[in-house]
Amino acid sequence: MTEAANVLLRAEKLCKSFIGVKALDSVSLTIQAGEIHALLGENGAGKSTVIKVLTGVYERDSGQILLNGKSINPKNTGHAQALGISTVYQEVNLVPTLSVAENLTLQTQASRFGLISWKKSIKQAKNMLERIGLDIDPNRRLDTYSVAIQQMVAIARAVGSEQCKMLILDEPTASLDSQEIDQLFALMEQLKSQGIGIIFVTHFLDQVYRITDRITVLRNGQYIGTYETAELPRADLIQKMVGHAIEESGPARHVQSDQQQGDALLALQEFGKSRYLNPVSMQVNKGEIVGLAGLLGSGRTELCELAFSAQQADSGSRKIHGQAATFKSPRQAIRKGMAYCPEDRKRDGIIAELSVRENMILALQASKGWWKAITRAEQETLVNEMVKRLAIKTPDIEKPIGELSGGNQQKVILARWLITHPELLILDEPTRGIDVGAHQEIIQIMKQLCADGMGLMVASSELEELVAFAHRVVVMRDRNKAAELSGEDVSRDAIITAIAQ
Amino acid sequence: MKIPMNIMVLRDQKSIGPLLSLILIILAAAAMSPDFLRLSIVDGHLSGSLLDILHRGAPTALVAIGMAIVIGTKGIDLSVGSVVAISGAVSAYLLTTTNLPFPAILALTIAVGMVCGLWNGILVAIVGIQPIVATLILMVAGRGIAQMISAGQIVTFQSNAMDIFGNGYFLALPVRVWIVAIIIACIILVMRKTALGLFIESVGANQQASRLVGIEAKTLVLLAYVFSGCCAAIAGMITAIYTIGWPPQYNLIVKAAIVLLVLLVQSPRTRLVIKKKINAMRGNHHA
Amino acid sequence: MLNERSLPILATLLVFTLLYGFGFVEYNGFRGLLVFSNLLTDNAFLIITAIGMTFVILSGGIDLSVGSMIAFVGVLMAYLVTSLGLHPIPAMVIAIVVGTLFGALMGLIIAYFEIQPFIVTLAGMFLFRGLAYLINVNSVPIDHDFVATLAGFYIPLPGRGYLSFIAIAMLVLLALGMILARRTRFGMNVYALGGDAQSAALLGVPVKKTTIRIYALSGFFSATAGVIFAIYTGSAYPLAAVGVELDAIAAVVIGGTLLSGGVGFVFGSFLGGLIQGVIQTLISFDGTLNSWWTKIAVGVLLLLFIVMQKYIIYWVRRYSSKDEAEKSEAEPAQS
Repeated sequence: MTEAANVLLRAEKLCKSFIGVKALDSVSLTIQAGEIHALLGENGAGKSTVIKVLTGVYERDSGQILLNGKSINPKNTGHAQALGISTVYQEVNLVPTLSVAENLTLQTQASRFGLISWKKSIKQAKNMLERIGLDIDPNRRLDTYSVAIQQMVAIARAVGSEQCKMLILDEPTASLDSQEIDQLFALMEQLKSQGIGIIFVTHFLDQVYRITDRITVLRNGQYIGTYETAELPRADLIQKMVGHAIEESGPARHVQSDQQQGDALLALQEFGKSRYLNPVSMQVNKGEIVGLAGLLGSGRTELCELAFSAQQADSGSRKIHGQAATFKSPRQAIRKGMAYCPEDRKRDGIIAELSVRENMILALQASKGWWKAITRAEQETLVNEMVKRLAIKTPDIEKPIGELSGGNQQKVILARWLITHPELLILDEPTRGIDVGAHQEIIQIMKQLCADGMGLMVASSELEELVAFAHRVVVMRDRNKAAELSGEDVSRDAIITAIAQ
Repeated sequence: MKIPMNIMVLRDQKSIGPLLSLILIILAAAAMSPDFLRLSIVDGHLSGSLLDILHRGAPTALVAIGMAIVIGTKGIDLSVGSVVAISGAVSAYLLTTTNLPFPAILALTIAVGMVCGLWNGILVAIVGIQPIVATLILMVAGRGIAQMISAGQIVTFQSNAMDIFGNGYFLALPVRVWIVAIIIACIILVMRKTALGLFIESVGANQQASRLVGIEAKTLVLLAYVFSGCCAAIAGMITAIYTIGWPPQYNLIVKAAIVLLVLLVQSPRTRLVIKKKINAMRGNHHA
Repeated sequence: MLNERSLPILATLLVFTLLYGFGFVEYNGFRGLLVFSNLLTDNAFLIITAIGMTFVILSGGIDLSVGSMIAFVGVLMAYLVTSLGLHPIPAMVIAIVVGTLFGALMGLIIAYFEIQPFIVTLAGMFLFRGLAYLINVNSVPIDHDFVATLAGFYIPLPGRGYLSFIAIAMLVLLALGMILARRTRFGMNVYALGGDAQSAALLGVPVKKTTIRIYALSGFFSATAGVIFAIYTGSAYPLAAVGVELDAIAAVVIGGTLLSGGVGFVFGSFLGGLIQGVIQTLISFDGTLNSWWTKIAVGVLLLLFIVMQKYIIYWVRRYSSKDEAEKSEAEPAQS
């Protein structure tokens, strides 16, 4: 098969600027019919800008887009879809309160005498579901189905129209568990066999190697290159993404477990909550990182939340420095020297509308109470110090935190707690959704904190990462503690074995 | 006419819009009738159009202060009108049917207002109903409750203390204006000098995240509604004595125009532009 | 089918049946069709307003201007008929067109300046009431034979029942509203907008255009309600229909529509309006209770429905999580 014959979409020399900042600088992309093409790059590389230009959300400044050899100028997502380019986003962009059929046929309902014919429309919806092999009741409300099913319905809608030639999947796997990812990948393979070209944007490199045919890498709005996935080693890929060699946190273990077992900061004894987390016993010592491994939904996040009293346990006991700690609110947990960086940064972490400074001093201020305000001068000293120490990239500490990149937001949240000098820091997925550079920096910070004597409890889905920094790893499975590995036993294989048992 | 001072106590920049419109309206009024700005001393106290504005606007401003705090938590209190009516009716009822001293009546009325606020607060903070929905209930039922207390008739009563509270003068200014001024001063002081403003904004922007940094988010929201109820109760007592003769025609149109004007200034889009300008100015200042 | 969608409206129906049934058992007057006919006529303007409000609330918005709109349209119509000597038909058309345009204008401001509907329509509420005063400060009778004929027209029904022109107009508008909501793309767009505005936009719903149309529609319905109200009372008064916006919102909520948008039926609002009417009738039949009990009763019903809606959301969530649990239990069995 010659490449030219199969080319579905060819974007040439796309440029796009926002008020003087070049978001895309002459980016080219070629997608063949029936291929799964990864679009990779760090945050801010221009992935989402490319997608938005292709789907008509943004108007390009220059360059051209050829679909099946014909130049196209999509005006909006609807127009792009009519031309044959559909998009499915990370967050399910359907209306939860409408039924599945209503979602699938919105704006394309079959009509009779100028009025919607629900009989025909439901049939239309059933055909769309059939096409992707999804057997669900189209009359039920969308939000009665799981996120994975909702994601599939979104895909059904995207590829449902007969003219769909190309599908863009923007981080579709972020909120799915491994089983659901398998389902999604099977569907992608099926669509591929129907001759649809798929652009797949993701943070998970494992998935890239598992399913994609080719990879296009962007960096700082520039086109770096397009490669056959099978011929590009992982280390090379990362180097192309970040621009300079970064040592991938490989399976090599740098940590020695030489901690005394006696100095327990936090000890949980059969700690659990019914229908939430089965009783778990574990402890975190001073100057030690305890990793929490497990699949999505295995109970990692639940354990973090119970330990911090974000959720209330109803069984077992908790001791801090050997003394019983029966508190019931995050506020009291903080008083006991605990701190918690939640998994869902946007929902539970940042306060988007407040400035970097306000976000950072919030925890300290809360612990002092509302009456004793920290003076502006003190605040600025504290904040500027942290900005320097954690290398937070922000033009101004008065900038709303919502406008910062994910990595910098995470650092601000981390700084928020470091200002309070906690003894025990709980981090849930501290590196999720963060570009590779900041990823490494955050791991370095964690190691430093640990060396300074803090105890850390870190939940992560990236096993290599856990192996690299954790002294001990608690493996979670089905809301139970499945195993605890320590010292030389901590390895990727051992964790996988424990999860898979 | 008084511009509701919502939001302004919370953040400096945002008060520019309302303040500008207030100045504009006063200037426009002065241009139309020069007497508007004239103040004179009659019977030992100031009088004039501007004083009338203060006098009439005082209860509204008071209600608006309570509302500002509630809006700060990203809520809204639709029921203030009903709470004003209820507390007005309660104070009138207590005055006419009991021999309680004035401070006791004051305390009881405020307590009633706070209970109303507590009801809203519980529905919003504890039960978790959207503010606009939760406060709608008391808004609808409250009018009936107020009528029930005053037995469907306008109560006439006589009380010196109440009269001073509503219509009296102190140091040339109406007592009600003093009350409102003192409450506003206290609030501004508290917002500026403590971290309460920050906490309220934080809870308003993201309640879950605020709880996780150790702010008692639910309590704060609950108290905001209680405070709003308290403000409405005081306003209710003031208005119970002095029913405003509201010249309807132009007043309402102007009110509509102002609401829109202030909002255009505060709409996300225009606010963004203004913010950028302010930041630019600040940047220049630093350089 | 009993599901999370139909449950609220069934509850509304149940409340209506219980209240009406109570009247049926207690009072002889309820046993003919007369009371029901009166309900349809007396609450027509409220129900028409509530139909327009349903669309607004379904889209996640609110329209506080409807009460003032009713007063303004009435006064405008009276002015056109009595002062300018226009025939009532063109006067009604002009009044309704003006009301619709004002609604569209509010929609325009909401859509393009991204200001909360609550606040824009609050401004509208002040504006329309003010405009009404500008035209006329006093209550004026609309003396015209045609208006009197319309007000007097009715189709007799058995059991002392009747169907007045006003009731017929209301039922026609109800049918129109129901078709518009469930059988047109515009209607589905309204539901989508209220369910999740951001997603709706990404699914190709023209958000701005739809928003303008929604408020224009509410303007149309409330203006028509104003005309109906003027025919019903035979007069116009700038202070008419104060607080009707609340009654309309209450009718919509008691009709099972979720105030946060996306879920509900136009027919529910019809029932919601009737329920308020029944409560009023029951209280007047009783004779010992005062009219404020209506408001308190409506408030209590509001509370019940709001709490029920809240519970339904939980129910849906638990239902869906149970479903997932079943799925995950079922799947290992298959493999």
